[in-house]
Amino acid sequence: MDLSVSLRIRRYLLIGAAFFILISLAPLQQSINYSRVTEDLAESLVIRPGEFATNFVIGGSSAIAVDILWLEMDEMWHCGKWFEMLPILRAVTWMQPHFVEAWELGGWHLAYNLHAYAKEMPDREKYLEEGIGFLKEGLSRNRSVYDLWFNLGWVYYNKLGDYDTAIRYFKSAVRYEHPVYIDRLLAHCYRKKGNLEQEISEWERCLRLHPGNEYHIKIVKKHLERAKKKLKEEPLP
Amino acid sequence: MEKVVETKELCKFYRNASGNRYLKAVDEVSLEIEKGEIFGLLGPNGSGKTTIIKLLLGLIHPTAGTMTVLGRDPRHVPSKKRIGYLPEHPYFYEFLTPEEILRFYGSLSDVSGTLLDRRIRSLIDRLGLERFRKTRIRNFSKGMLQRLGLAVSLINDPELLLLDEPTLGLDPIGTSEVQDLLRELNEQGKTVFLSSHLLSQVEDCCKRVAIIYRGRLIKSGNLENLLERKDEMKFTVKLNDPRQAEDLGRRVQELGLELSEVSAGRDSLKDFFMALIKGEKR
Amino acid sequence: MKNLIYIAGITFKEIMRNRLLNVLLLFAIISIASTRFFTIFAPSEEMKIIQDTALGMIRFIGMLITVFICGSLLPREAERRTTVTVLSKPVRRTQFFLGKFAGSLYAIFLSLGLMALILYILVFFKYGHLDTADSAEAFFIAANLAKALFMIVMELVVIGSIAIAVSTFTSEIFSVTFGILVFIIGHLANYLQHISDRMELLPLKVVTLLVYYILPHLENFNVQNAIVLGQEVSLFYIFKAASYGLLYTAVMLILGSLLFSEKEF
Repeated sequence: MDLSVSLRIRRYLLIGAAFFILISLAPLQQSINYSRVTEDLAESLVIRPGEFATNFVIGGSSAIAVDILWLEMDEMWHCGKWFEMLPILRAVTWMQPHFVEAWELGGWHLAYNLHAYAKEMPDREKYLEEGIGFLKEGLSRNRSVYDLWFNLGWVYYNKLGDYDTAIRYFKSAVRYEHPVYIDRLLAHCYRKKGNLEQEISEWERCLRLHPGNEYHIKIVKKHLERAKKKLKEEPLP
Repeated sequence: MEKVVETKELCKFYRNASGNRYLKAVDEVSLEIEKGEIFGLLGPNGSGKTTIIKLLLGLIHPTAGTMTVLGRDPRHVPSKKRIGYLPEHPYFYEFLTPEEILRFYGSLSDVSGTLLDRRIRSLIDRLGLERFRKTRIRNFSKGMLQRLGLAVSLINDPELLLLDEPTLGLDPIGTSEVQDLLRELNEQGKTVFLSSHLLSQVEDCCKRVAIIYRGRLIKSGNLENLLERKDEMKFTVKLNDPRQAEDLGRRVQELGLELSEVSAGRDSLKDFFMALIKGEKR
Repeated sequence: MKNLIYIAGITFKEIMRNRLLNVLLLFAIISIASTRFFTIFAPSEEMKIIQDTALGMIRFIGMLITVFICGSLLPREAERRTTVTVLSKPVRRTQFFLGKFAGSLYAIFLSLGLMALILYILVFFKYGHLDTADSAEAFFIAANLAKALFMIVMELVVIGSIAIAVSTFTSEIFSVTFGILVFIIGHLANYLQHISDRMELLPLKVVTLLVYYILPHLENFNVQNAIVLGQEVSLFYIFKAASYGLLYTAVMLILGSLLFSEKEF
């Protein structure tokens, strides 16, 4: 075959191959877009405006911007600029909604620090409410980790004394990988409610759950003994 | 005789930057080079010599016409194993030494192992590069690069050599050495196609020439035939006495012949120079 | 095939001598190593800051290294006329082009590897006291980082293939600038789909959609944020994104080698 003809044929074949591959990228791209949403990786303008916007401006990782803000916020904390921290926390969670620690810190800062700081002010409850709201918003974006379930439970348990709500949140928290003390907290909730049978049942569950943890077993056994003793002493209604 | 290079009405036109006017770099050139000859392409700068060589190597694509090199289309890649090319200004990767460069180009041409080692050694010696074999070529002079370029063109022991201005940048001794080398290669049966604007060089080496001007082939043929002045003969006479010259001249005129030129015996500057340097070397 | 390897080898040697590359690499390594010291101010988020900064640096400096290498190789060689002697030997144009790209990739991988090494040293240094729980976490972070680094590598391969394809017919400056532009636009490509959805005129819609699919979707390779925050990124996703990257690169290399085959020297 004449060389020029075979070269021409080869050229057309290659152009055809390139075109074909380019076309086949379209369904692959759609599949990737779908995965990015389902696996929560997407940073489009519609789904995660914060991350998209910072990518647009910085042309790179929004995470670095978040880290810089985080360091600045840490600085403010040490200087006692507590109110100035709030917009920064808001910006951080807007840019990286899965940065769980930011939601935790924000919620705690509002519900505890500012709530305590505003002791003399008439609208101090507002901070507590805002703190809870902040944690709930964070939870809506981060449902499959224990952290924010636990934080909300703690606020209800520790600050508000609302043990029923606290129990609901702690029960959700223990569905995911979580630290050992949350199981114990559940038992404490029942104790504070005065529900001895539930309390004992929870302590026994704690024993079954983490048999290898010596420290945990020691505490649980102590509480279990106390509860059983109390149950014996108090007649059932 | 087997034709090693054949072109038929070869054309290369370039579009002028300002408009549609064509720049005719090569205009209907038809050439034939036979196996085993040293062929010279002669022309002033910008006449199209380099363009023709690049067309023969497939580095440039022709606008019209046909050509075959070693019986194949110039774009046929495996044929290049049998071709050696020396560009007008050879350039190589600066950070390499001559030995590394020769090894690289040798490998590309499928030469390897002990054969490659042997060839590298012999080429380095033959082309006067021994002192610099392990020096990076960054600081090489023009002449050294030219020698290296020649070595690279020979590393694959090609049947056909395409040399663009092979003695550019070389001093008279270097030039003479290259010419000797070319004659040697030709005796081994290699075909040499060289292009030059240096008339004396072409005259010394080549049997057949083609003269090209502004892209057009003006004349081609056997050098002897082209230069022969059919109605003149040159005699070189050794005299015992300077007065014999006048005597001889009178006798020629008596024969009814016109005496075109009489001049004292003279060396060419080149021969004088070469003899002097050879004497110094001894 | 052998010739491709020889050319890649020479290209690699040439690139590693490039001063600009060495400066960029040094800058990146110092920046990554020094994140260790920023984190004094926020010890609780030390790992996050180190990983964010390191991955961001690796991506950005990696991008600069890639566009400078891939965008300048062919134009520089054409300028210095070293290409001509190589092509006069039995080397196909495609072998030359792909050999150049392979050599550049090797240099890019090495640079990335060096930067990643510093990052890994920082990660293991932090968990130096190797309590079992901590060392398990260190390995988990290391494995996750490997995913993010792999995605960065894919992104750079795509950008590099575009830069080298463009450099077959343009100057060095143009290809490098174009490469940087591709990096920026490639991260905003998603936006075009939303614009297309909102277009009412059909021809405009089609054109926008066409441009959307032709542009490289570099966001596909952005899993950095998720990984640093400990989110799970499935291997299936990584496989899809890598396939996209390889196919796109193949298209660019085909086009580039075709253009290079037509080039006159």
